Amino acid sequence: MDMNRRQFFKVCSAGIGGSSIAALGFSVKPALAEARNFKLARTTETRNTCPYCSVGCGIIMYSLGDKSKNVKAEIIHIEGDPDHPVNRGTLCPKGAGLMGFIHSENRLKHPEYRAPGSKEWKRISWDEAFGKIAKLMKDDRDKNFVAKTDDGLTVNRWLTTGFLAASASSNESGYITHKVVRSMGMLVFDNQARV
Amino acid sequence: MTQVHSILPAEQIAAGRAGEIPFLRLPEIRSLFGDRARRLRQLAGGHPLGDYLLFVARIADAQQALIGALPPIMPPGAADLARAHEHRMPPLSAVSHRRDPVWCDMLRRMLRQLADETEGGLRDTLVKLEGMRNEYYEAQASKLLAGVTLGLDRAHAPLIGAALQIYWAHLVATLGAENFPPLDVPTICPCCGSRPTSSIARIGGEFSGYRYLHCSLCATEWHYVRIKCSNCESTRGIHCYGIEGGSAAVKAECCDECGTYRKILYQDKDPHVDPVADDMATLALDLLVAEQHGKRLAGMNFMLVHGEAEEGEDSPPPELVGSSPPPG
Repeated sequence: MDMNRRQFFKVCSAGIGGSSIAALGFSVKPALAEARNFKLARTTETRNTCPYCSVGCGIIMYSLGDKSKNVKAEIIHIEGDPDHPVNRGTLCPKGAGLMGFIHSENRLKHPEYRAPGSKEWKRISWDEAFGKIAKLMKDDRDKNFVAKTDDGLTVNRWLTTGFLAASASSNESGYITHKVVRSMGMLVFDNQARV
Repeated sequence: MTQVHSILPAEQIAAGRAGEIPFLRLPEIRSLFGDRARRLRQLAGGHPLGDYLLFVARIADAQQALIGALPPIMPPGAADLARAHEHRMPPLSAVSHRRDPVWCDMLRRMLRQLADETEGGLRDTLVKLEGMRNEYYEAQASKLLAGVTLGLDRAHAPLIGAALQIYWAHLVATLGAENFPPLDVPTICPCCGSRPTSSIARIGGEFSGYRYLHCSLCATEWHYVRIKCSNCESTRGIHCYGIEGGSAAVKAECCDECGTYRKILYQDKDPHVDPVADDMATLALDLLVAEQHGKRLAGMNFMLVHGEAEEGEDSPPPELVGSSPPPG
């Protein structure tokens, strides 16, 4: 038998009269009427990695809403990913509280700046934040960069600034982080991509 | 939604078995069809397809009674099994296994039992099918098992399919899990190569939290990771539709890559869900997903064979017409 002939059976209101139900003499009309009164709700399950630590537990995030209809999708549930080899569906108390973290009112949503000696956090724009960070980094690097050691060995290192990146990084973001940080000579660097 | 988080039992960690996913769930033939009958009756109350669900419940009762009364069936020999394993093919292939004609006798017994408690036109259908020859049974079985829609009788399909389910579930249980290693193609049954009816995220013991595909023929369940299309293996564009305000335990898992859907059942939302019964009872979900979102049905359910073929019904290759050889 030619396996390529394997077909899908088509589901549709018009064709339901030719289904097993109707062919055996049962009425399909009430089922069709019922279907017309229902609406569909779209949910999505998305794999991700818990952002907290370098164990890198797999999580599944359940969201509700139809992206195709410009409805804002909302995360309604998070649980451990049973198929993930690291945690097999389990989560620690921090991971189990991720829903509170996502919907927290205190969650930081934009850059804030506290000037030296000040007690006040002030909201700033991303441009300002990047500018400040770049300026501080450059000043420190210009002052403390070591091109050669006292005995003339070329080292090109910058030891007075460190860099800490996220835990839930992919290989690719780990690679890019490494390239950016190392190319400036920075040695103190951890992006928790050790899993 | 409730927040339930799983905890690995201390014994499991101590035994070093934490993290092993059981690949197979062979059918529990002492209760498989009886449980299905019970679920169908539970779903039938006030359901627009209630009468049909009750009829299929009676089929399931008959299946349960017959699977306990089966004469011994000769499973494939060691050489056949070794060849299947070597090439990573299903050892009890639905399309190439030579069926013992005992299944036709079982079909007749099932039809007699059903006809005795049925009246009207449905009884006539049952009696008429009971009087057909084995050649007809075999030809219809070959079409159903291979998914060939041309010339397939939709009224006979659930009845013939029911007898085939008894036969295959019995054979699979006889051979045991050690004869069914994973295949290269993870979307077909590792025992018989059939398409799954639906998938089910299980609860309970070592199976808890894992998603299994449920074979439409032999009722074997095999592990398949979540959020992955059970038709084309894509992990992109997977999303689910459920009935708004309806049960959260049954959803249609859709794939944008291949344009198909298959139901997924969540036992943690309803512990009594059955891969066949709940698939039938959510016909409204099929209609809405197919008509509003243009998705094609990937699942196969012998108890509810749909009306039209997607393509090619009018122009089959000539070699397929009446070509099913009566094996045995």
